[in-house]
Amino acid sequence: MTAASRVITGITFTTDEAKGIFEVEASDGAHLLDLATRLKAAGFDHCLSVTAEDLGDRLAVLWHISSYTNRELSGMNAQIRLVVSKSDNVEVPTLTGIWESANFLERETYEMFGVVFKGHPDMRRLLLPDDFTGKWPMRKDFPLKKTPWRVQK
Amino acid sequence: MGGGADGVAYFGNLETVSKKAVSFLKKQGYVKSMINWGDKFSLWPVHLMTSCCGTEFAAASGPRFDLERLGFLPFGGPRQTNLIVIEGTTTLKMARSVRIVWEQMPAPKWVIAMGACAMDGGIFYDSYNTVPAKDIVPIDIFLAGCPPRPEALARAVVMLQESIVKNRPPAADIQVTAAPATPGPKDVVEAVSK
Amino acid sequence: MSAPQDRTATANLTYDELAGLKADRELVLLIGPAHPGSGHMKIKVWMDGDIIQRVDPDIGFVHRTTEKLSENRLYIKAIPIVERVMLPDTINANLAYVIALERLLGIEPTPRAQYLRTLTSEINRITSHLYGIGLYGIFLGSSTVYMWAFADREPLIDLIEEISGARITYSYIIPGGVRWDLPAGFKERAETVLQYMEARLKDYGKIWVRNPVVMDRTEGVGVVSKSDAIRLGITGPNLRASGVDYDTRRAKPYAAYPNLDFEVPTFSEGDCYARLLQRVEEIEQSIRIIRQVLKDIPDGRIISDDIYSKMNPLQKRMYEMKHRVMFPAYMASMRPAAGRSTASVEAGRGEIFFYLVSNGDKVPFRFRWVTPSFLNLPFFTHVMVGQHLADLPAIYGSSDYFPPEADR
Repeated sequence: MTAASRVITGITFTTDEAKGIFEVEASDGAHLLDLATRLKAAGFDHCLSVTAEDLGDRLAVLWHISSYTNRELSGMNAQIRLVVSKSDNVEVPTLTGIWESANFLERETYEMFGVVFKGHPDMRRLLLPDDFTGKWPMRKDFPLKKTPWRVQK
Repeated sequence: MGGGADGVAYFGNLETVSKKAVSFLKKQGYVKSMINWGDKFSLWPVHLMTSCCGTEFAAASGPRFDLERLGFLPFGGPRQTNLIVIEGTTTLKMARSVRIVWEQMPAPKWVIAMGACAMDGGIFYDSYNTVPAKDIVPIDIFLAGCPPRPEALARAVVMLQESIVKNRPPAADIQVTAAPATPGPKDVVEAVSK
Repeated sequence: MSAPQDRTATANLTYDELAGLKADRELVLLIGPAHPGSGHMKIKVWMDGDIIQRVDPDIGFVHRTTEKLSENRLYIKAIPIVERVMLPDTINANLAYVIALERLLGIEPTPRAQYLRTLTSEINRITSHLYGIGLYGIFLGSSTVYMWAFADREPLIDLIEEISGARITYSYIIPGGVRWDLPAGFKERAETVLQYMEARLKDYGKIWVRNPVVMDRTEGVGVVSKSDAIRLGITGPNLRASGVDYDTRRAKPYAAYPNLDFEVPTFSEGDCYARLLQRVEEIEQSIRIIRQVLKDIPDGRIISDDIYSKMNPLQKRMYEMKHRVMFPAYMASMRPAAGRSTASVEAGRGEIFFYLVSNGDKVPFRFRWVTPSFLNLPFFTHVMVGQHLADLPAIYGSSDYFPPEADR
């Protein structure tokens, strides 16, 4: 891992420019909101993706942000990363108050990973049917159908 | 009592005469073949796009391939249609819609399963959100390809027309469907976790 | 908040909140999932008279779980999966994934491959826009323009079929380059098609774009202001039609775009008509880019040396004879070093975003992608509110929303 870094308005990003990675790590919920507010003020005006990674006993929640208006920042896909311990319903603060474009993306992350975004205006399922019984399909412990349909019968 | 100008006379009550004429025509098979002929050139698929093969379905309805020359005219309301083309993958949510639309259609009705996903899953075979098309509705024609070219869809329509002319009953009439009325995700997910 | 909530319960709650309206005027309407007018999705609309008060898009009818499947497949096998999702626009999905993968692997495609990628990507952009324009015709009740657009897609599809051998699912771009070289006489045939396309665009102007009926139905309808477009994170031609000068091809350059001269058209109105004009203008720019690519395309290999050196002698001979890349065994067994990468590509409908994580295994550890139609979902929840119900198809069609793409 290269330890290059870049500083934008006092926030240090760990970067790997060849791979398009610009990352800043939040230590907890309050720090996350503080970081997001400062990054919004710096010119990051929209959210490209919200997702999570299943790290075994922990979950890393990621917000990818970029800029439409600021020419200097629009070349970056910056990411904010918050690591939390994994449970059935992980709670993290929502960033929809800062980036409204995160609305549907956070709903998708809730449905796929069981990350509840506290303060989200509309925390419901999005893609799966309402009576879907499986829990959090994108976590690593959720099984795939291993056999083709014709063998199953 | 009535009489014809050409010298043929019919006697009796008009109702009885017409009944006799109908049974005569039925016995000869003329009515059936006429109905078949009419069905053959009015295969109206319901405009229900289940998945991405819909783009090739649209291209097939476009001017280059022009399936309307075979009487294949996509139509909005299920009550006026007699054919479903299942275009690719059916997900848990879409499976219910397909079943409801199929039940709303008047008989006789036919189903074409278009693409590898509708046949046995295609590249999405092990997904947790898909349902095999054959568990939703009885299927007349399976059409291979991922996605099938518009020419292939034309071929499927021609094959369906041939089977209608040969008086084969639709799959809906011969299969007693074992599928539940509305395929529930519960069954599928339980099958997954086993 | 802990358990997944019942959708109807929440809907009723908000419906009650909305019930400041008089009871005899409120109406809840369910649209879909039947094409046209809704596509593969259900739209729940709350109305007062015929003014839309609130819209809840119920998507997921085409959710095929591509992320989960790709995390259980070899890296190379994700290419067909991402293509199936963006069917009118497959090259761009393919390109975005391959760029993210190449960044993980640390390989660089050759200049000729870069130009070929740009060429196919632009042809695909035209077919994607024509698809959007054709369906917009159906949405507004004109089947003529649908017939025209779908007929005019065909020469372009033939062109790309000549290069890659398939009608719409090409799997043309692979790590390190592309699979086929240009066939002989391609430039002349491409020029014929481009001239035909330019002539047709004038006809479209006469019958569709400057048609008074179309203008009446679309001008001033579904206006998205510049600040709203940025706030809601709208992307692609819809963003530029609202006056934001942002194009991924400029902002996050990839393939051969840094070497090419093209304009990024923008409109300030932000209404449905501007979004229609935006697509027509982008077709013109794509034609310009294709001409430049065909003029400037450098000679050389179409596959990088990293991959070429891994081919066996038979494959190398086949490459020299037919300029066709056969997959070396490496493709099935590649294990990128542990790391992460992101990639952004401007597709026909907007920006595709990829985020890949490798832990050194044969399959991706995390495969995340966001498609432009998903980012354009605020068109339903925000732009339609306050409009007439009859304008719903006009706004939907103008956003060029493609449900399989949004659901992934």
